[in-house]
Amino acid sequence: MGAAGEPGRVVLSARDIEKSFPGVKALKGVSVDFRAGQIHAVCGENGAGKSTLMHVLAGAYPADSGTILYEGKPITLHTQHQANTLGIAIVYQERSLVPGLTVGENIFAGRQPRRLGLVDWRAVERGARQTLAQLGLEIDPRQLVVELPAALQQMVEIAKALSVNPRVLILDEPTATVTQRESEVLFGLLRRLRDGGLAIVYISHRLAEIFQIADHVTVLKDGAFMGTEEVSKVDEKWLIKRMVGRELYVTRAPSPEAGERILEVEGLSDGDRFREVGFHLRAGEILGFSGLVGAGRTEVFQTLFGLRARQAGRVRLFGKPVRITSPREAIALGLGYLPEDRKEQGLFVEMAVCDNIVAAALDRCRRFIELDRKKVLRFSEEYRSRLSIATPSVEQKVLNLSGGNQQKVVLAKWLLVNPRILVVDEPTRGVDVGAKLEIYSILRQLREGGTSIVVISSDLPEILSIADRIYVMCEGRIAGEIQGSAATEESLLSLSSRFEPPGGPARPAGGEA
Amino acid sequence: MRPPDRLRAMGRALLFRRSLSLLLVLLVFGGIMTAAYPDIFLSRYNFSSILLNMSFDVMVVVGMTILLIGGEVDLSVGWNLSMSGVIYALLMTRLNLPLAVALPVTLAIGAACGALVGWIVAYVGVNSFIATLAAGLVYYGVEFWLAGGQSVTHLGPEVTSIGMASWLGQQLPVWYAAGVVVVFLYLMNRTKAFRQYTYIGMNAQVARYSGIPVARMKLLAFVISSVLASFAGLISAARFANAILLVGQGMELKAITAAMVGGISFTGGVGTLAGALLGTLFIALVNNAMIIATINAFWQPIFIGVVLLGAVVLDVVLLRVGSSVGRTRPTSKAAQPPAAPE
Amino acid sequence: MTAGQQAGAIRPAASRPPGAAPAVLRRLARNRVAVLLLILALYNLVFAVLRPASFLSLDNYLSILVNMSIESFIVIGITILLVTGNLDLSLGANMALSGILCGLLIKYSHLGLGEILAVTLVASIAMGAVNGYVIAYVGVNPIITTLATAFAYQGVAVWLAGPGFTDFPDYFKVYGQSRWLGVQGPVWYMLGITALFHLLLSNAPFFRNFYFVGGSKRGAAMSGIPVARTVFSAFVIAAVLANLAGVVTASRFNSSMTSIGTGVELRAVTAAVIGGVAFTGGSGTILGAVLGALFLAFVNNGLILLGVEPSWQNVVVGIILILSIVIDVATRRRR
Repeated sequence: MGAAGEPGRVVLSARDIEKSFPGVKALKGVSVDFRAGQIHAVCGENGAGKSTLMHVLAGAYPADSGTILYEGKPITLHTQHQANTLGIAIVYQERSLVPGLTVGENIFAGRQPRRLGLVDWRAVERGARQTLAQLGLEIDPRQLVVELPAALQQMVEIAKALSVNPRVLILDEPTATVTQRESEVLFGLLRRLRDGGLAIVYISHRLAEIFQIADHVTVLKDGAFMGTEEVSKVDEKWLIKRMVGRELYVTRAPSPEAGERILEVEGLSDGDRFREVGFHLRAGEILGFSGLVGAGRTEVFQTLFGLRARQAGRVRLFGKPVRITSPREAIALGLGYLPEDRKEQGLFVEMAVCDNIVAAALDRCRRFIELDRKKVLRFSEEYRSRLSIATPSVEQKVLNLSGGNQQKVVLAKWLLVNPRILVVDEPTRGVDVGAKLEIYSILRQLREGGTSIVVISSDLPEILSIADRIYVMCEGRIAGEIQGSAATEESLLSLSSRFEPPGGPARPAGGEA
Repeated sequence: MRPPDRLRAMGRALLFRRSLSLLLVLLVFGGIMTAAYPDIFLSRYNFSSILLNMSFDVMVVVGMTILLIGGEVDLSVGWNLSMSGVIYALLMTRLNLPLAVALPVTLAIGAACGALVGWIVAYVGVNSFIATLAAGLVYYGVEFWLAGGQSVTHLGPEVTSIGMASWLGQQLPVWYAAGVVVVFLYLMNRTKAFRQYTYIGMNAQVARYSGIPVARMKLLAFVISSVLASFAGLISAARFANAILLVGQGMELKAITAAMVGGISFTGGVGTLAGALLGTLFIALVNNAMIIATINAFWQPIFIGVVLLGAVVLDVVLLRVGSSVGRTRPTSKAAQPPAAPE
Repeated sequence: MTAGQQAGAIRPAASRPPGAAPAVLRRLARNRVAVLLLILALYNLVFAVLRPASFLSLDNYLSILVNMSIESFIVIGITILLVTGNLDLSLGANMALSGILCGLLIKYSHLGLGEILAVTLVASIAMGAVNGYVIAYVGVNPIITTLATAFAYQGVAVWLAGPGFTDFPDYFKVYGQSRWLGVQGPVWYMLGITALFHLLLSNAPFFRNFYFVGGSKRGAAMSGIPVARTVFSAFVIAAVLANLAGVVTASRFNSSMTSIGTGVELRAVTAAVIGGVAFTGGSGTILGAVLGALFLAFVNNGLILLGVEPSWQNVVVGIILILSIVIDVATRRRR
């Protein structure tokens, strides 16, 4: 790669960038410098404006005002393709590769080398091999993308972005869908690229990663610039304070006495993402599941909820062995599952708030075989006030609500089902601070009311402040169990990060459960 | 209201109240026809013949609408209809089975076909377009084979008894269709079970996560569509005293067109049965108008095509107007770079 | 030493998603052309044994080829559209209208053959352009759009046709009815067009873009591929092929009627899907699709030779279609 840049030279600058969408000002005059030979993280909560800033810098949309300077000169970006040609490359979370085509062809999308007007396949293969080799990827460019595992596809996306020899590479949450081990390899790659002079912009809200990989960090909050500093000079508290503005997490309330075991899992495995998982849940407790992305926590509970196939293991619910094969069954047995991705799994975005709230409890709104609209509205209003959902009317489309209020709608949906066990997966992802606190308070109230809760979260302070007891998962297995009162961020992090030595897939661990 | 709000409200009214605007168009159209051909258009004979010809389309449209709202499609209904007519006719003429046996058997065969296709789509995961395309081919082949390559004609009174009589001035098929309409309007609009189709069509994955039995409901929808098509087929054979091999050809596309004109979205979750029925009425009226005005038959498909195209283009344009004016905050989709036209 | 040679190089693990068929079978199933050739070879073997006299004759092979030749143009057009993730249900009407325009102009105008062909070509392109514009630039669903235009075009065809046209002059009939080296003209056209488009779709950058657009619209846009223009061109190309099909049909059968081309689109989709073209876009080859059409033609022929009722042909085709999709789904399943 070796983009010509002495380390420290400013390659890309944003100056007073402002951008508004109807109803919200996403960027309020943000200025940042990105230098060659540095990995510069941009972090902030969802809604802080990181995505918007990234899109503006990559040419996806124009800023309302402000300037972008590239190599010291002001530029106007009209399309992403133009930005690409200039030397600004971006890798989004969503795949842009064509699964049915080869790795090589994907890398050269839209700019295949030609010979006599036709594609020069040898040049494609050669060029792709070269690009891949320089990144340390031993992938055959003639292989079809669809045959590669997800993490490698991500690597190919990066290779594709790098094949135009950009000076700036912007990465959007690159570790969102990869395992811990794959992140390590990715980081190795990024470090090599940085040392070669590339300016890397790394968008993330995963604080642990920022400390692992970044040289500089910029914090955004609500569209405003909150500070830039060298990573070596700051700690997590510094970041959180700027991201959030105040002490977010209340002191732990003392845990109530937990009751008998209502959920017991032994040796659970799905043959793919997790194995030998065993844990228990007591009545009246809030159980935390910590771990890095890819650890398998979501998959475990999706299996319990009937969304994934179980390969082995035993599950006892309220003392009786069960084998749940569909969400419908799970709900009937008293389980609820608030999914990780509310837009793809939790909400009918084009439907009204009230329609969403009753979606899992349609039977409760029945009058004989009819759907009683009055009941639907009554329940919706009840939850609107109980959860303080900010919406002009319950007939408003969920699409138009803020992230925090959308999450409350999903929560209302599951509360209406009246589960005895409610699993919430990343309950405050993409939720503003005020709503976060409300959600925590709602969860605590639920516990008072007798519902047992499982909180899956990658947010350590969140788990620490709310869980009575915490299991940590790592690479598909339970790495440890800690009492909430005894847990610390360090202990959780260290359990989450224990990874396998290179050269082999995970083997049954000796020692810890 | 501020101008953008008013625009948004108007757009929304037009968009969501497709049934209303269609009703308006129908009334205007009816008015014009009454003015131009007062004796012919408003005559009882005309009225009855419109209803009679519509009744078969209506039964097929009802089934198709349930599927479309649920996010699926059935391209085999036309051949299913033809095949069922043939089966019914043959059961009674060749096997000499009584009506009381032939009728339920025909319907049962229809149900079984629908169940098989529904299973392939909902449980095995085959795309419904392709699966029903294939099923249609199979039905086509089966009916030709059973009938020996010729339409089954000159059906006797035992066969036609359920199709030929009249009641209160209208022929039986009209009443059957009316019954189907009443039942399914109720089911679709009022019952909890059928409301689930809207959820499934909007987002099948979210519906599944919410505990809605997606696969089961889709299977049911295919069975319903199949049974209704079967019923329409056998009634058609009964009413016209022959089971014509090609009678159902193209019906699926006609039904889809009627549904789209009536506001059903091809992607699912949007539209009402009432709208689809109004769309069917619209097409029937246009057909009728062309006959009365002795306009050449070829104008009808041209007109339908233009109207359909206009309707969906309008949909798309209004959606754009609505979203650029009404969106209050960028969702993840809006925040992604739009697929640039150039 | 490259970075890749250091410890920690990334290579794909030899992993297999649970529930999927063994790797060899999957690799094979993915190379649909190979599978089809294999099946065709087996088929020929079987029929060589079952009906040596009737099957193994040159006449029989030629008749198989000639019967599929004209619709193969549509198969190619549909394949290109499917690769971009679209569909055109108005190609049959386009075909009919092309033949009818030819007949109309031959009978009533004093234009020379070249001018007539040009006029009909322009008409077909216009029809395809309307579809392409509404779908690519306005953004309407392709199925509804082409359904609507199919109605309209068919109506125009009926309007212009009257009772149909026949008794074409020899200079027109020669294209469809002549032979070269003993093989009918349309077969040569099919071979030529298949070869041409297969080469183009496999190797020409403009045609490769169809795959990118079909596979990931956003990704294509980001790579600088003009998505709307690409989709628009696909519709125009398909329209041109439909025009060709219509003209050759009229020439070969010495008549142009409005019933030409009814249902051809769905038959073409069937052939393409059997040939490995994904219904959702982004993959498939011309060769595969045409082999799929060839396979169907063989099946039809075989059933006739075996004395099976003609109606069973459709049943068999339907079953084959379903099976090929089920196999696709099964070999792709990841969990």
